[in-house]
This record gives sequence, structure tokens and C-alpha cells, in this order.
Amino acid sequence: MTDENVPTGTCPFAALADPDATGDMHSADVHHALRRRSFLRGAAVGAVGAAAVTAGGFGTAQALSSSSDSSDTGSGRTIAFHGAHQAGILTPPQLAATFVSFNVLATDRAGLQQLFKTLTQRARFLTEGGTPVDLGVASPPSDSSTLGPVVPADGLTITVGVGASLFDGRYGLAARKPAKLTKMPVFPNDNMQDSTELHGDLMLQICADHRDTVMHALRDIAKHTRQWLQLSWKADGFQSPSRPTGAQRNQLGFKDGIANPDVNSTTETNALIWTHAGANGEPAWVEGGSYQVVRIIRMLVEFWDRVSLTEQENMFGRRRDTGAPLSGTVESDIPQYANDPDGKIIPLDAHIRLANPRTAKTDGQRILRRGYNYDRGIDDNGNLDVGLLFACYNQDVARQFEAVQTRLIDEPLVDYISPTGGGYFFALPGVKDASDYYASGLFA
Amino acid sequence: MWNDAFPSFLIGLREGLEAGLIVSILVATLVRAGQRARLGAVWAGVGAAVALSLSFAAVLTFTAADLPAGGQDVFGGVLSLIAVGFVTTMVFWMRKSARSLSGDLKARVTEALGRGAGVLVLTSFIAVAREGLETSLFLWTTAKSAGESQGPMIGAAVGIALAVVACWGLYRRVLKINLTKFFSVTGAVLIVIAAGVLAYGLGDLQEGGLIPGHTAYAFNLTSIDAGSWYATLIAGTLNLTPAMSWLQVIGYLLYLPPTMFLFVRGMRSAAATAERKAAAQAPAAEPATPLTRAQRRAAARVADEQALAARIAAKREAKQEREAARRVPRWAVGTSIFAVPAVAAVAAIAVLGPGKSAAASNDIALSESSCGTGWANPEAGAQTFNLTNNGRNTAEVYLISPSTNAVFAEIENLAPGTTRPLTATLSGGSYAFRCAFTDGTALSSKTYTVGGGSSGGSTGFAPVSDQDLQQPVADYRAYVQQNLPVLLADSQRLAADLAAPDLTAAALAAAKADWLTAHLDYEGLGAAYGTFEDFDAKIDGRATGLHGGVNDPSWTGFHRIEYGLWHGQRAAVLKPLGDQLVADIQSLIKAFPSQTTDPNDLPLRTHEILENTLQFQLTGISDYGSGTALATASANLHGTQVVLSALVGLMQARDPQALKSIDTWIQTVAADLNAAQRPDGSWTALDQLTATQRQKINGDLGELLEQLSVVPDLLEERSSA
Repeated sequence: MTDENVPTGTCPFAALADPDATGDMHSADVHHALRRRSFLRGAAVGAVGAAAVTAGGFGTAQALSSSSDSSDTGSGRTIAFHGAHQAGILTPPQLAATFVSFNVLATDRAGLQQLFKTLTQRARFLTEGGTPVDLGVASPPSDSSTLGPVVPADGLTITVGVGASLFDGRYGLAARKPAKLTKMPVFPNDNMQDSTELHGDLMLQICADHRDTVMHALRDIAKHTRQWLQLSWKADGFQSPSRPTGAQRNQLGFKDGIANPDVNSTTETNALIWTHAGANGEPAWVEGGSYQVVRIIRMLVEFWDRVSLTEQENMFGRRRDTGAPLSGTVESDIPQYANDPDGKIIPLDAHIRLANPRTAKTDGQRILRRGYNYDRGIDDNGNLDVGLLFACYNQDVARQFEAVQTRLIDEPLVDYISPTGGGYFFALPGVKDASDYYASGLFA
Repeated sequence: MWNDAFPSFLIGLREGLEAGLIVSILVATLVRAGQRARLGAVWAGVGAAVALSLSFAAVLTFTAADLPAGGQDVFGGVLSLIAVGFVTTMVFWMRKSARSLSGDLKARVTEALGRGAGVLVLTSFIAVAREGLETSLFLWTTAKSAGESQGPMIGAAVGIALAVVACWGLYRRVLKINLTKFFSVTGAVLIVIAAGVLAYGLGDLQEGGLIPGHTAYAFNLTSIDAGSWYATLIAGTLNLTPAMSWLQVIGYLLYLPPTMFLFVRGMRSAAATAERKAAAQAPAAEPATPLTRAQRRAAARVADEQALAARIAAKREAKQEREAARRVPRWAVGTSIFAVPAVAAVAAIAVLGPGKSAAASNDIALSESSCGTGWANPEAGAQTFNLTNNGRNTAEVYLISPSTNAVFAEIENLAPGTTRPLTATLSGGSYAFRCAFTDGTALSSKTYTVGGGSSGGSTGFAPVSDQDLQQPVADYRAYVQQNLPVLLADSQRLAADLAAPDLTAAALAAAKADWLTAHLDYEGLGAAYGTFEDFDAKIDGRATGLHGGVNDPSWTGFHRIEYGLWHGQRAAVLKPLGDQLVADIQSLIKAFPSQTTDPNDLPLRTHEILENTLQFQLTGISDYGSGTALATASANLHGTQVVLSALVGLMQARDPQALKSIDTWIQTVAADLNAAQRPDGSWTALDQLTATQRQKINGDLGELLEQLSVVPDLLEERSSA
């Protein structure tokens, strides 16, 4: 029933998301163990270290360095920070996400470099978890403690992207701009006029197994980068569980993200997702990066709910209940357009048919979608402001995302959706190891 | 050295007694039963337990591994419960033996012991291992915290020796009393001890977290000094402590009375039976009629045969025993006594895994007579101290450097009888606790030496006394004092403008200009968070908290006048507001000399003024039409500089780097704001700034606030540190 290409963003983590109930045993802790021993520690006893009777007294330093334990709370998952690519791209979507666009205030290239080093340091700590640094008596605490005294990793990923505006005159980096990075154009069906949620110098996609972990990470990063970064806009998203199986449903009730490239196939990811040094006119430093498209797509759900099921299904080209293409029975079935040249089964202007015609010519246009649902209040009419935080990764934003988006112009669905913000960013190559930092290649 | 030796002495005595009592009774029983040959089994159990304890300590020491917190408690608790089972069984077995006191006890003991050599080994092993593990860990850590091993070792040796002597004395004593009494007395004593061990074991399991309710105390006799010799003796013999949980007490009561009742009833009925038996047998023992010679000869022959058979049987038995003893070579026994526990210790640690604790925990006690005792294991790195105030007064506790007085960590207001954690990240060096009680008592602990390098720890800072802050406060007040008349004069000019019969365009422009001058005078005073008590609300309040909003008749002051001037209100409406403003400022001038400035307010003000600026000015919330938020921000920045300049000496002495950084960011923000002032001196309104300009001001002010946020912590008044 399930397709291996389906991003399994939902139920696999549901079980993990429960805090490890037994993990707290140890915090019943040294302190308790000591109480009876403190018995021996009357006035006469002086400085006896009753404390150390407990094993806690032994090998303190070792315990400190090795086991700043991050699994006591949260999901217990730690997603590796270092690697050729950033985490949060191929990573199956965690339950909670925020997309935050910043403008960079750094006054020169050295400041920009310092920003990336600081970002790296914070992201490394936050994604690995541990005990926040103790600043002593002469400072407010270093950590907000919204996740408790010890920061859990909790499946956190922080994915850093840069916008085209970072390569303007400010830092002398124009020559190093990723070849396909542009300002996101306005597409014909967009509703971007007067939008305050467009573009940005820097984009952080912060995802974790819990909402509070996402917010904690953002607060930590903002505090540590105050002199270089100013928040510009922010959009929060959530993953819905599989209902009942397979890909998550968007707020129109249809399964979304069914036909993604296979993230486990190096061939596919190298051909469709990762940018390569020297290829496609790209500069050398982009090896292992990816173009990120973020779009805030409002869904007019009140209107949609007044549309007949047949019309809804014809707009998507899929069954609403199973997610199967109208030509199939299960969601993983491949739509057979060759047998249906006139769109008698799946209309020619159905969303899935326009987005992915499944031809040899369009095969290289596929994108990795990693979207989140959003819900952020109401509009002036009292209608719900809900929709999809569309996010996708691709090797060449012109060849892939824009080609798809261009085919979708004026699709029937446009009456029920309203893209209101977003931007194009270039997700940086991964931080290779402990001595590397974000965008190090940009400064090499 | 006495200081270090005495605690170890008490430990040795207590744990030695706990383990020794059971063993001595076991040994006495065997001796009374004529089974000295079996003593080896008991000593094997004792030896194995000692080996296990030492192995644990050795493995932990040399590998620096870590038993998880609670692991040792669970281990000890389980052993205690097993010990209770064994001892109880033994007591009732002895009672059963005591029932037939007519002489065959020896045989019965032999028979029972023949079956139960393993039981003897196990009982003695458990009795000793239970305490031995704890003792060796105690001694190891005591030696480590004392920084020398001689004192603690001698103390412990004396304590254990005294415990052995006491057990020996008990052993001699019970040997002398008659058998019936021996079994009654030792049995009763063992039941009382076992009840204590049961409570103790339950307590261990609760501490280990296996059973809840550890802190649900049935009683907690804090008036009893738990470290006193008598408390130690009671704990050592009866396992009763000044604080016991409900579970411990209930376990104790459920075990002791019923077991004792069954035991005593059994002893009585056994004694009665024995008496009746003796009475019945007595006449029969005497031959009623003379025997014939043949009968006597036959009887003698039978007796000889029986004796011979007995001798043969005894020989065979002895041979079997020797063979049994020989089956296992002596060296193998010796080796396994020491090797098996060592392997067991390693395995236990491996299985239980390394302990996980974010920081070593140390229980530190303080009272008006003794500050900061109990730091057992001074080590570098992140430390958590559990500070308990055993005194009668609330205390402030500091971790300081005894040589420089620098403060590394602090707890304010530790109430009597409470425990709170104090965390600090320490590098190598000398440290001491300093306790200041509300009754004026101030004292320090001894100096603790932490090994290791001088980097990686938190920086200590010289405490600021209230005297230190007197001059800065006086300087700041002098500044305000000096500028209030300027504010008054400028406000009077504004009031005069508003008193004009009609606000012509020229008059309105003049009023607006004079309004700004006077308002900036006020904003530059560094007022924030009630500096001028109620006057601030009257002079510079916003309408947001008023029931009627901007139409609320109680709204007065600069912003009210601003609203009127920029919303076309008539002079008649504004005149009383101008007069009111002047009157309020005059009242402020009158009241200010008697208003006190809390010394701690001054460092706080360094960031609070600009927090207000970010929150109310740079958002436009405080703008009632004039569009002068950036001018206000600039005046606020100036007010912050005034406050800082009063504190510059204190900052320079403690963290010159932070001061430098603050100065840099003040210059940056000043430059941002100045860029918004036009050549003619007028200010760009917030909404006329470009997004980039506005983000830059917000970002730079944000960073300045991050830098300023250390000032209140650094310069907090710590007079008693």
C-alpha cells in the first residue's frame, strides 16, 4: 500500500515522539542517594564527602565530557549535523517546522563570515544537544531553559539557505553567486503585492520532533546572532499524521508529496537535488548544496469545502480517499497518461498531470517536496488563514521548479489557493566536520 | 588529621558492627554446637564479601567508571532483604534445635549444617558484603576529599578494630551462658537486628528509585545530630536512623512484633516440652530389676559392637569429610574467593553501565556555626552543589576565591531547612563557601582546592558592596538634580505657548518645537521603571492603560500634549495640560531629594532604559503624532550613557572587555540614530525609514542590549560576599 518514495514524515515518529518515560529514573538521582549518607555528616564529621559515596563521586570529569545526555527528554533522536549535505533536506520531515527569513546586518565580509561561524557553532550544539554553557554570576543565563536545563537533540535539524540578495554589492560576493539563484519571480496566479513575507538574505528551516524544540532553537540562534541578523518574516508549519496511511494530507484533504524522488537513491539525488561544482555553470563552492523554494500557499478551505467531490478529484487527478491516481487503485500506482491522451480519466489540466507529466523529457524536472501545513489565524472576512508551507529542493530551480510552476499556471486549482509569500534560497553544502562551518567555501 | 580520621572512625565502627554482629552470632552458634570445623565456611563467606567490596572500590578507582546513581543502593537493598530472609530462617532453625535440649543438639546441628554449608557461606557473605561495599566507597572518597589517606585509613582501622573487639566481647559473653539462654538471647537479638536490616534495605531500594516514597518521612528528628557517637552506635547496631520513611517504619513494624511473638512462643513451648520429657524419662533411666550375668554380658557385647560400629562410622565419616574437603584444591578456593567477586564487580559495573550525571553532586551544609561543609570531591568542571541551610536564619551563600574574594556562584535567600542546587563551572584553584545569614552572622568554609588547569571555568568577579555603589548613585542623582531645573524651564516655555489665546500656525509650530525640547529633557534623565515613582506616569504616561484611552480625562503629561498638538486640539484644551505638566515637574523637583534610589537600580537601569526604547519607541507605540520616536531613542541613549558613566569605574575594574564592547555598540547605535536626523535638526519618522535602516537600528540596539544585559549581574550588590 505504501510507496517507498513517499516521505514518511508522519507516523514513524509518533511513537518516538513520546518522551522516554523511563529516562527520568536517573534524575531520582544522586541527591536522593545521598540523603541517608548525609546522616554521617553532622557537625562532628566535618568535610566528609558523603556525597561521593554514590557512584556520582567517581569519574565526574568523564561523565561530564562523555554523557551530556540528550535523550532524557524529547524524542531521543539525534540527526547527524556533519556531512556532505545539510540535514533537513533528505531527512523525512519532522513533525514541527519553522521557516525564518533574516536580513543580514553584517557590515563587511568578515562580519558575514563571523555570522556563519557563529551559526555553525549554535546549530552544532543545538542539534547534538547537551548542557548549555554556564556563564557564571556575571551574566544572565546562556539558555532560555524552555527545554529544561539540558537541551535535548529531539530530532532537530537546522538547514541554512542564502538568498540572491546576499550576493549584492555589500560583501563583494557577486562572482560567487550560485548560478541559478535569483529573486523569486511573481507567478501569474500569485498574490504577492504588499506581501511582507518575501525573499531574504538568509533562510533558516528549523525542524524538530516537537514544536518547543523548534522555538528554542530559533531563540538561541537569534540571541547569539543579534548583531548580524534581523528577523524579516517567519512561518510555522506542522506535519499531519498519515490518514490512514501514506503521505500526509494537505488542508484540502488530498495526499501531498506522493511522487517524490527516491531520497535513498544516490543516482536520483545527484541528478535531481544536489548542485555540483563546475556543472551547470555553478561555482566550485556549491558542491553538495541544493536550491530551496519556499512558498506560503494559502488554501481557501471554506470555498473548497463547497466544491463537489468529483470536481475536487478532477482538479487534483487523484482520489481524495485513497490518494490513488484516477487511473489507479492505490496511491503508489503510476498514472498512465499514454493510455489517456485526451484526459478522459485524468483531465489534461489536473494538478498531478501538469506537475509531473511522467515523460522522459520531464523526468529531470522532478523536485523533492518537503512541505508543511500551516494554520495562523483568520483574515478580515473571518475566513481561516490556513494552507501549505510549500518547500522543495532541486538541483536547478529554473529547469525544475520553474518549469513545473509554469505548467501549473492557470490550472483549475488556482481559484482555491493563493500564494502570498516565500522566496528562492540556496541551501548551503553540509558542514563537513568539527572544523568546518557553513558556507566556508564561499570565503575560501 | 583528627578531623579527617574521626569520620572514618565512625564509618568503620558503624559498618563494622552492622556486619560483625551477625557473623559473631553465627560463629558462636557453630562453636556451641561443636562444629568448629565448619567455621571455615563462615570465614570463606566473609573473605569473599571483603574481596568483593575491595574489588568494587578498586575497579571504580582505577577505571574511573561510575555506578549509576541508585545502582549501589539497589544492590545494597536487595542484599539486605536477602539477609533478612537468611537470618530469619536461621533463627527459627535454631529455635527448632533448641526444642530438643536433651543432648542431641550436637547431632542435629551437625545434620543441619551438613546439609547447609552453602547456607553458612551465603549468610556470612551477604551480611558482610552488604556493608563492605559501602564502607570501602566511603573510605575511598573520604580519603580523596581529605587529600590524604593516612588519617582516614587510621580512623577506619580503629573503628573496625573497635567493632571487632565489641563482636568478640559479645561472642565470649554468649559462649558462657547456657544453651537455652543462648538460643533465646541470640535469636531475639537477631530478630531485632533483622528488623532494622529490613527497614534499611527498604530505604536503600527507595533511594535507588526502585520503590517510591523515599521522601515520605514517618519521622525526621532533625534535633538529633546524626553524626553523634550515640546516633552512630544505634544506626550501627539497630539500623535505626533519625529519619525514616513510612515504608521503612511499616516494614519494621510488620516484621518485628509478629516474628518476635512467634519466636518467643516457640521458645516457651519448647522449654515446657523439654521439662516434661525430662520428668518422664527420669524414672525410666534407672534399671528397675537386677540383670542376670548373661544379660549383662550380652548387653556389654552389644555395647562393644555398637561402639566399634560407631568408631568405624566416625572414621568413615571423617574420611568422607576429608575427601570432600580435598576434592577442591585449597588454592582454587583461595583464588576463587578473590577472583569471583572481582569479576562480579567488573561485570556489575559493565552491565549497570557508566553513571550518567551532568555534574557531580555535592551535599553542602551550612548553619550559623558552620558554613559550607561536605564538599567531598573537589573537582574541576561543571559542579552542582546541593546547599542545605541547617541554620535558623535565611542565608546568602557564595562560592568565592578565598585569596581574591572573587565570586563564582551564589544563591540568594536560602531559607532555613531548605535545600537548593548551586551550579558552577570550576577550573583549578582555591575555593571557599561564604555564608551570610540575615541575623548578621557571616562566615566562610575551609579552603577547598580543586586540581586541574586554570582555564575552562567560569570567571569570578569581585563583589560590589553597597559602599561601592554610593558614589555612582550620588553622581547620577546630582546629574538629575542639575537637569531638573532645565526641564522645568523648558516645560514652562511650552506651557506659555499653550496659554496663547489661539494656536496660530506659527504658534503651533513653536509649541511643537518647545514640546520636543522639553520632552527630550525628560527622556534624557534616564527614567525607567518608576525612577520618579508616580511622577513618571503623570509626566510621561501613555494612554494605553487608561480606561478611556486617548480620551481619558486622567491622561496628562508630554504624550497627552503631543496628542493634542498633533491632532489639532484647541489651546483652551491644552492650556490646563501645560499648567498641570509644570505643576507636576515642580512637585517632582520638591520630592526628588527625599526619593531614595536603590543602589541596585542603577546597574539595572543601564539596560532597562533601552529595553523601554526598543519596546515603546522603536515600535512606534509611544508616538502620539509627533514622529519623534528616534529623537526620544537618542535621548534615551544619552540617559543610558549618563548612568553608565557613573558606573564606569566599577565596570573597568571587573570586566573592561565588556565595557569596551558596550561602548562600541553605543557608538554604533548613536551613528544609526544620527543618520536619521536631518541637517536641519528635525528627525525622520519611523515609518519614513527604509526597511533596511529600521532593521539596522533594531538589530544594533538589540545587540547593545545583549551586551548591556551583563551589567546588572556583574554589578549586583553583594556586600556580604
